[in-house]
Amino acid sequence: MDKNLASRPKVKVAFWTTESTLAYLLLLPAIAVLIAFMLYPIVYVFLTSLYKTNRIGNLVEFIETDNFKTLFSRREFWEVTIRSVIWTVLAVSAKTLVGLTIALLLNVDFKGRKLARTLVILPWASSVPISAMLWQWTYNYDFGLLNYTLKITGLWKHPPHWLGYPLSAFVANLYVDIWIGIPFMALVFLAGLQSVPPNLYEAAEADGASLWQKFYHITLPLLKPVLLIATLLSCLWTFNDFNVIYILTRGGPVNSTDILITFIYKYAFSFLKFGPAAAMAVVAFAILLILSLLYAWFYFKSERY
Amino acid sequence: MKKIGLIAMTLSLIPLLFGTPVGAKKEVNFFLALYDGLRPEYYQDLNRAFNEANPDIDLKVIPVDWNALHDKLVVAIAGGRPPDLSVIGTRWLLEFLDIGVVEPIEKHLSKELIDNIEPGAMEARINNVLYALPVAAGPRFLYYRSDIFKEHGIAGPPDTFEEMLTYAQKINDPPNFYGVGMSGKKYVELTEFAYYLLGNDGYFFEINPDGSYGKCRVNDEAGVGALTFMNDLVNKYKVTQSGVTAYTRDEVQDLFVSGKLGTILIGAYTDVILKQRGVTFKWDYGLIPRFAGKDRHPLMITDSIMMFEASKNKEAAAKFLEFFYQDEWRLGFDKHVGFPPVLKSVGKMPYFQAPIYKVMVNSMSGAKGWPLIPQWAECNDIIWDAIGATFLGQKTPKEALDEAAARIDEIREE
Amino acid sequence: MKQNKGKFVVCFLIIVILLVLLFPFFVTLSTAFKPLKEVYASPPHWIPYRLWWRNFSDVWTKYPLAQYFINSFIIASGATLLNMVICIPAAYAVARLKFVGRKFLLFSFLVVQMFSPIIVVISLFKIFARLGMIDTLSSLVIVNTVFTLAFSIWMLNGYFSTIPMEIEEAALIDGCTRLKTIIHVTLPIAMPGVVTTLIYTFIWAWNEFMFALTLINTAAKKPLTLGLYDLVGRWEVQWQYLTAASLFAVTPVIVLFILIEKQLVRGLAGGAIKG
Repeated sequence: MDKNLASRPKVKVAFWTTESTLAYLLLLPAIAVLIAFMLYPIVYVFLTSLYKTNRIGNLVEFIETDNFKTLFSRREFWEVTIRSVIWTVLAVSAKTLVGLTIALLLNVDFKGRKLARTLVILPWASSVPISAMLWQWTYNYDFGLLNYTLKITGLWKHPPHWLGYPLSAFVANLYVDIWIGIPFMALVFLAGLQSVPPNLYEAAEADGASLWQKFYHITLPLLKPVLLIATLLSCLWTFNDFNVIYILTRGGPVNSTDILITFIYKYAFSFLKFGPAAAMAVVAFAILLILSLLYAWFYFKSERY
Repeated sequence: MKKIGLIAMTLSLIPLLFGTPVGAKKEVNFFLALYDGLRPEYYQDLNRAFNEANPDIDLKVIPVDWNALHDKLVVAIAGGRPPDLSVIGTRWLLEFLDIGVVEPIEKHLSKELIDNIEPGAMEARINNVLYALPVAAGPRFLYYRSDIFKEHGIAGPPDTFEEMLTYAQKINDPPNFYGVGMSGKKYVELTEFAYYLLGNDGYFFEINPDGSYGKCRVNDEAGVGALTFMNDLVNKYKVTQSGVTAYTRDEVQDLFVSGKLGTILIGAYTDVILKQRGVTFKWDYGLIPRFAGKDRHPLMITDSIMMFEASKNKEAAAKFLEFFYQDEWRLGFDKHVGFPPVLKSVGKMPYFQAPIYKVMVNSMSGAKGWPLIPQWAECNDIIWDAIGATFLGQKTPKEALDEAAARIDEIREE
Repeated sequence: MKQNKGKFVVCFLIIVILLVLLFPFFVTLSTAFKPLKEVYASPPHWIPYRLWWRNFSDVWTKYPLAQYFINSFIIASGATLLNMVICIPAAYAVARLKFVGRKFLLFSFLVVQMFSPIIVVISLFKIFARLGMIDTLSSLVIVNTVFTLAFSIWMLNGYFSTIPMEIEEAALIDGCTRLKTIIHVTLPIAMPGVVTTLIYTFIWAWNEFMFALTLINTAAKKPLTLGLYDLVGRWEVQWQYLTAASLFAVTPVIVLFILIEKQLVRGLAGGAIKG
């Protein structure tokens, strides 16, 4: 256990025999809800991945790891998995960088700051399927205002059919995903910044520290716990969100924008192949689990300072 | 302290008490796809009228958006709670038959009703058993800009795809006006390729003597010819809009409606949209072309109402269908959605003597539908990728279709 | 002088960022105020020739938006409430009490977030079918609670642990029971943290789509996210209506945010920093 917790002075609590009984009781509702509603679904995913299923997902025959073997032998699967990782890394780093920049800017006291903070939240305020629909309309080559604006402002004389070609479609999808994720990041970081004691900056300024030095040596270390948990959750959400890609390109053109989660969706809901879909879900889980364990290790380490 | 835990637990349990009570009435749930043009008043009135006429039955019309219907059905079926009745794309029927959730509908319906159905719409008749009741039949045909055609001295709609190309070259004026529309973005249906494939006497599968489907044949001469022709329209003659791989069917339709296309191959609903938007140009209809010297086989897509085997109130459900398939209700439905009637008696009504309905009726002869195989969704996806790869120049039509056919045969053996 | 220049740069950057970030929102505004004909003008134009308010009244009268709003509100506030009731005690325990398996529990809450809703939706449907809760708003309340638990507990855990122990201990020594201490001392100090998780849960539940689609049948029980999908047809998307309706749909979220902005920023601040 944490040194921190262990060294706390004991407070006498008459009503409770031990602290841990109280803790478990307080945690009971949360644990109960999760066990009641998530245990079965999660166990079922693992079971399904080891079974041959019929087309409504009933387990027919135990086939050990055959689903995985078939999966691993397909080139597409590896392409899609690698693309998922690239997609997540690019999206989360962009969200983090932009979110952090916005947070730093919005932390400066200026007129209209409250309005700016409210406006920044807008991309978060719509449901993802609807946002993706609106982006589809924005990207439209003939009636959409994006290409029109690029043309008339002279920023780009011949903008592409965004969703029509592998590379531009990937960029277009990625951009929308980043756009949706920025507000959450910006707000969490903005909040984190509020708790950096101003006297630390003043001291640094007195020592003649540059803007970058102040950021690197004061802001960043203090933001570390926020950064860790926000980027971790963002990784989990980004890796697992299929709405943007599915609505904008359905993974096309020619599978060039498929990631693991859109593949899972396609296998389960279109092709009714629940075994391979579950196997892919297990792979996705494994990737995210490793990532989370790394993060948790960093997090609990920083908790102990 | 104990209190807060108790309160928390009690509160978390409260929602559990809101379970639906079981009524004494016979409950019938019907997933109705929300067709474009179908107003809520229509199905609300239908629901009310039926329940008033049948006080012992509690019918629930559950409107579901088309794009979400398949997902919702999959979850409901796999979750063990399918509705009693549902509209389905007839191409899903085999999938559901394979699962074993289909109740053959024929035995529950009266002979009068069955006899009144247009034979051409009965796509769901397999081995002489009607498994699902046709609800909408969507023949496909050609729309063309009669005003522009006239300007260029072209008399009427093209009869063959070769003619279509010649006309398209005459009227093509990019980037303001394109000869012919083409959709190359993966979409739920494979319509565009099917027009050219069927018009070239091709099909997706070999048909065995017993009527079952054999090997995939999209890579035979007819298939490769069709895709080569499509690809030439796009990349060689450049008579289509640019960037075809970015366009779904709807987006190509938007181009035609906004006056930027000379010809488009699409379904009946486009006519409703053209009228709704009050376009100022003139358009007319023709049949889907064929390749020179080949037979004409337009594409026909139907939707059906399926009854689920798990339904506890099949009789009540059938009673509702008989009610719904009275001329009065069917007329309202067909009018709203702009499809040709599936009932013979409704087809005779004056409303359906308009020119567009004539074209629709003509386009039903010789029409073919989607192959009725359980793995069609996946095959559909594979062929789409072959088409996309061709348009993008990643593969030749032959390479792309060879790979697709091999993969499809592999899947069907699994 | 130098400071003014710095502020000018900040304002300039903010304006540029907002222009880029709000681009689709401007598209939405522009489309929502155009009549159908102008929506499909090619090339398009930004400013409608005349502000076309009809789209707004049309979506309001043609579709039962009011009903959708009420349903969404019930679901979102129900989920928020349930989430609070479950997460506050849990987070308090994790942050303040000593017990075996603390880290393990905290981590296992995260595990739930590793499964996308589409992976578990069929199993969850089965559970609700068994409970007889298909087609009830309360099923959505529960599901949205389950999927927001992880963030709430982590955030609140961080928040509670920033509050110095001494404050609580003082109250305990003064003879308050632990419950009273929590209600009268700890919670008020942690209020901003509570508000943070509250808005997060509300937005999540307000925007959830997949579970609403599969668990809700009756039209009168549809939440707004599903209702908006009525405007996306099989053959055409009614952009002028979809944009108008989506503007209606973001309003409650924005209003909630404006009301809560100050608390939220303070709340998030304390939440993740550990003292």
